[in-house]
Amino acid sequence: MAPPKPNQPKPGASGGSTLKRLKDNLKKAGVIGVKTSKKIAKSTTPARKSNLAQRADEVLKSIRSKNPFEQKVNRTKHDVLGRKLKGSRGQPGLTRQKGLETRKDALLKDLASRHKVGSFVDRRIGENNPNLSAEEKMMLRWTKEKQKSASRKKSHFSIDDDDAHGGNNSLGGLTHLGQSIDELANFDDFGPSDDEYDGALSKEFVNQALFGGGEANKHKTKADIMKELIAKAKFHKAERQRIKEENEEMRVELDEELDAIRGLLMDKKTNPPPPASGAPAAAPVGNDDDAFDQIVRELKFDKRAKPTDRTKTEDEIAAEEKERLERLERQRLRRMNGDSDDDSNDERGGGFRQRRLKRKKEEERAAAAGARDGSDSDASLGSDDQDGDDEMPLTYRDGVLINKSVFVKSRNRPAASDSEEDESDAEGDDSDDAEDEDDDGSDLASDDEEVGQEHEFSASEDEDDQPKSGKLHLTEEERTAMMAQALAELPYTFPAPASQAEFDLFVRGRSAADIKTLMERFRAIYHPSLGEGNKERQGKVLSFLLRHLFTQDGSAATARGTFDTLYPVLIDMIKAHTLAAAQWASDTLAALMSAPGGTFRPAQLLTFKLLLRVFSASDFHHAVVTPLLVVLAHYLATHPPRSVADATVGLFVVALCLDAQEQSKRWLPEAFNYTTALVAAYSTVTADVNKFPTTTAESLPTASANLGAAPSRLPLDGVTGGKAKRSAAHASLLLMALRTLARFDSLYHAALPSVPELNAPVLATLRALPDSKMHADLLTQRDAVASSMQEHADRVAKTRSVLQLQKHRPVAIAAKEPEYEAHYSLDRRDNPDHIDKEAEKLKAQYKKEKKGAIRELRRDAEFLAAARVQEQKRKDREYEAKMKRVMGRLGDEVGELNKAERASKRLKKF
Amino acid sequence: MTKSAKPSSLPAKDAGALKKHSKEDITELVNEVRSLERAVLLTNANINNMVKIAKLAGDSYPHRVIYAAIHAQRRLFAHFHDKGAMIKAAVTSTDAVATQLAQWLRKQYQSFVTRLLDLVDTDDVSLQVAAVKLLLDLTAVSSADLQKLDPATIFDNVFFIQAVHRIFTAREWSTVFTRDVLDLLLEKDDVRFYLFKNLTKIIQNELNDKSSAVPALRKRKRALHRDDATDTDADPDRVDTTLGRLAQNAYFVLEKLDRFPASNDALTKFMLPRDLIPDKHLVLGAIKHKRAFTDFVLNYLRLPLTPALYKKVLMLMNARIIPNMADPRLLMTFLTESYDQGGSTSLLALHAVFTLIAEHNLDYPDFYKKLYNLFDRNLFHVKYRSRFFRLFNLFMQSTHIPVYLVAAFIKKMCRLALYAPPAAVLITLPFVYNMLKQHPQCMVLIHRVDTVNVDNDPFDMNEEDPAKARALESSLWEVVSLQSHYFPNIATVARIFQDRMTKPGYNLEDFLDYTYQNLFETVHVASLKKTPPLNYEISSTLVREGEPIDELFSF
Repeated sequence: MAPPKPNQPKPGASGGSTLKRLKDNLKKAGVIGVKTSKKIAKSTTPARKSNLAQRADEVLKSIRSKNPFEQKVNRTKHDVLGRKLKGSRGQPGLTRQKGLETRKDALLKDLASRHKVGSFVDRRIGENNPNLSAEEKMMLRWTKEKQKSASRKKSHFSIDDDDAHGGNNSLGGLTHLGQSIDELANFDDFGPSDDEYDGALSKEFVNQALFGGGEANKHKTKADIMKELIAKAKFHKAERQRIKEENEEMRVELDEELDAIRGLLMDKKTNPPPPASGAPAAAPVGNDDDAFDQIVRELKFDKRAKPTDRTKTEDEIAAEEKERLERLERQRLRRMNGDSDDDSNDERGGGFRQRRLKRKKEEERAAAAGARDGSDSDASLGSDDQDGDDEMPLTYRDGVLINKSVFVKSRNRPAASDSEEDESDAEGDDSDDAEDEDDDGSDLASDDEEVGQEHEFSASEDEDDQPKSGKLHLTEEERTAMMAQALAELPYTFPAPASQAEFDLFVRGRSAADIKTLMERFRAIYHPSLGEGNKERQGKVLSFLLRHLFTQDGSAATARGTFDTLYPVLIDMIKAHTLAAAQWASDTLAALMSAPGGTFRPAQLLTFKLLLRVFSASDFHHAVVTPLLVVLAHYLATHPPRSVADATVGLFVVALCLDAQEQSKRWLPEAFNYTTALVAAYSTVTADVNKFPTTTAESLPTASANLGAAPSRLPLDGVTGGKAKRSAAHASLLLMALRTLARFDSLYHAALPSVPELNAPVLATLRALPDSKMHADLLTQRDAVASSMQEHADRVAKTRSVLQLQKHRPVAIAAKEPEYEAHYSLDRRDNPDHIDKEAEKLKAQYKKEKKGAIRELRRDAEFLAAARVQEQKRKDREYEAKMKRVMGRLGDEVGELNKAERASKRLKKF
Repeated sequence: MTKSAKPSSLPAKDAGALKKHSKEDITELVNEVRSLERAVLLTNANINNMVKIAKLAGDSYPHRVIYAAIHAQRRLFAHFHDKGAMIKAAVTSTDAVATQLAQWLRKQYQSFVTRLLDLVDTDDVSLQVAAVKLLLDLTAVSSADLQKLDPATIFDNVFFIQAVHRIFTAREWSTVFTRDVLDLLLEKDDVRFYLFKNLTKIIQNELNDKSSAVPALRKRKRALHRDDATDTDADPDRVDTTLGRLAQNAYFVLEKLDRFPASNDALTKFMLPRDLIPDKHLVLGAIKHKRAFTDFVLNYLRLPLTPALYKKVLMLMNARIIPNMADPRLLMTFLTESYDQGGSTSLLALHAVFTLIAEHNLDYPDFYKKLYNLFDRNLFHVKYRSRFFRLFNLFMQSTHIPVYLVAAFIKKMCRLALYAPPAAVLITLPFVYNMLKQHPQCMVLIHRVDTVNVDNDPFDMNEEDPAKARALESSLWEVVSLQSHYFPNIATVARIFQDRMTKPGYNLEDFLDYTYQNLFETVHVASLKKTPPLNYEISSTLVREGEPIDELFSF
């Protein structure tokens, strides 16, 4: 313990020794030195005594806490005013004592009860008294019981008891201020009595009686609260009962009304309406029983609400679609092979069974209803079963089966298996088989015309292929006709083409509509959810299809037709397999770039258009569109127009480029150069190198141009016809070039600050066009473009301001000054920069706790050791005392014995 | 008598000569040549076989036979030459038989040489090469003969000039022939020396002969102007005249030419025996070689060159021609004329002109002004673009260029870049950046503090004098326009002017060699990993009604 500091304020005012001061203090506090007469001391109750002791305890504590000897003070080196330091002062004595006490309470008890085992103490009345007989014991116990129950208060919580007790009370269980009214009704102690009344209301009274007792709740006893609770419960009980009764009444009323309308619900014959005057509902008449039973029976057979099918998931829909197509394909194959187009056996059987079940049900219903019209039910039957019913007599089926069993077996194989194998199997079977090769058979080409004729029909037919009437045998002609039709019909299922060649073979000779149907079916059969690898398969086939479209040659009209027909399915597939489509596009563009060919074909141009339609063309960098633009620009830069046809394709490419810039408005010099060069080719002044790059100009022969002809839209295939027509095409070309220029103008005039410079040479060229030779349309278009370009050029030149591109916010000079922390404290251990403050805190806390725990354990051990030592000492002392006692007694005895011996000796002597 | 020995076989062969000879026939004929040769070598009695062999070297025979025949003839003549049967002494000898034989042999020899010269013009390369080889061989032999008569003359140039004339004017050289013949002609120092001498002489003669040369030159200039537009390798107006062939073939010499040995000591390879050449002879002087070459070049440049050839020659100037010339300044007229022509010809002449200015003290006034005028709309489109910009970059490194000039160049380049293909824009932008860094006074082009608004761009694009172009008063709106270029890399590079220009400069070499192909590679992803974004709204038809494609075109 640290000695008290000299500057410690002295607890006592006067000087003197510490002991004296203590005495003074105690005296002042009235703990000692209070002279109490013995009389008073004796008259004081024990309660008062304890009160006194408590007070003394408090006083002592306060004195003790001020005792400098009891205090420990840590000297601070640098005293800071107003700073509070934890642990700078302590009361080790007090703390130790506290610890000692708690240990005494817990540890010592544990120590004492160590190795001790608990046991029962028999406290039954009279059990330990051996003098009592069993009967007496029982008697005693019963008496005690009676006494107990008599003295015991009734349960607070027993509602029924209370109810039974106060049931006859007129006021029921009502309370006021938490007190039962009947208790208050005595008015015995309500308010002060008159003689006590001194003119002013007591505060208590005011609170309780005049102000509703808002405060009074505070003083409610537990019993009051419980009573209130019980009262509430009773109230609710009564309420429930009342509602129940009301409901009952309502039900009775409704029952009566139901009787009134029952006539409307039931058949009049079977159930006449009950008399309106209404016998009470709860009194059924005897013969009504039959009617009731009848109703029940009828209801039993009535149509019930069926659980509807849950909404199918996408996968299930796909699976169903696949199944449907497979079924249709099986039928088609059969028809192609000249078989009759019945449903498959299992399906037919299923239909039959279903139908029989239904009929049985109907019969039951009829029996139940008593009177029923059979024809009605027939009409109400599902029509889907009807055809199966009518056309499939068993004999016919059997006949077919017997006749064709071998054949059916060989052809009935699923189409998904290798079709070539299929063919080779079928080859030898029938002479007819030679005709009905599979679609990729070698003799397909010869059948092309026939197929073409049938396409329209077959494409629309997949949904509603009507079965033929149930003839027993087909004539030869009908059979061949049917087979031809089936052959023309598209396959419903087919193996997925694995290579481009396979795909091309598969779609060769088919119309676009057919390909569309096939692709739709393909998508259904190979739906990604239906099998492993279907997604890849679909992606592959999409790329095959795109390549097929891309490479097709033919007129622009056919290409356009094909694209327009296939567009929806293409879009759907590209949406589903974007990566495959993009990869195809990317590869194709790379191939085009590494080996640029001649003029783009219409199909190629339309494919580019498709890509621009589908992919987001406005992206800054797009994996498909950006390479595509490079390819297009390269085309424009390297394919100067040498003829009107070239120029048409070039203008189309320019239009594609501009389509791509519709939103992003990015500058494409190649397109602009191409268009301006095209216009310049018709201008009367020779090309000036300072006007346009001459790389593309001057190559278009315009000498024979007839600009006076009426311009029209440019045919993408090029102009066919005589010289006059060809020279007249120049007018169309120039008009379209002018329109394209107009498009450039509208697209860029707001986007580029260089519009004046870009427009100026174009304007000069436009003015140099041979006015006199030009058609009126050309002139108007030219004038429109020129005026618009001039206007835009002027406007931009006026509005644009000089550049200030390097206008940056000034950057502060890097300063190397020391870091300054506003609230720096040596005591704060944590680093403000430290990221894991929480963890740091936890660590510190853990360390502290661990130290504390170790200390506690050490103290415990010390305490236990001391306790043991004391115990041992006590035992030793006891032993010693005992030994002393024993030895003393033994010494006495020996002394006595010696004395006796000596006496006897003496006696002997004598 | 031998003539009638196999009279039956030869005519038959002659008749069928034009037909395709079978392998056996060829072998038989070759064997026949050998046996005839052996017979002559055995005894002079069979000397008439030489006529037969000469016949077998005729056009109608297969190449292998001709090949065998001419070599056989060469050996036989060498045989007689060694025996001294062909020398003049024998011709003038008293022995009538010997004289007759010598005269006959010389006649045969003359026809043999004529045949060889003809063979230079065949369509078979191996025969052509063999003929040239033999001609060189014969040159060596006759030179030796000549020296015996006159020790001062060491080279039979009279003979050689015939050969050279024939080789260079006969037909256009095939690639293989070019390689082999030039190996033969350029390897030996003395042959090369006389080759240049002879070529000079031949060109002079041809030019003097043909008065058409001058119109041809004019034609060339016209063609050059036209050629700027197309700039293709295909040469529509290739002159298939002697002059044209000469120009074309002599070009190969220039192309193949290595650096001449610099000193006399380095001249070591000779066709003639070194000890026979007198010490003071021309062939031993390195400077003489250079002079011969200079004469050749100057005369060559007078030839009517086709535009393609003209450009090719210009491209060779720095690597092959100027270093080998005795005085490159003699090229000055030609080069300034070329440089003044404008277009890609100027671009090509530029390097040579620059070399002359830098190394040979050519004083070229208004070099930069001319350079400025080289910037026209085609500059960025021609294929010599990168070659030009390498040089241009070099010129602009000069610290003595006035700011107005730099600004004019910058402004003009940017203006032209508006129309340029992506590869050219990618050269322009870093170049402009470097220029702005080098000449901070030009920063007003992209950042002008005194905000005097200009109604119109003060810069005059068509002004030929950069001093009057008022570029410094303008702003580079073109750069801002290029920020919305369709090619993403360009748009990115164009933004460097907007950011803090902390980079000291770009290495122009990184940007010079872009083409559409390798630019495509930069944006093309070989195998896509990420699904490229689709349009969120896709129209229901491929070509919507009323959109431009629908309005402009009918399908």
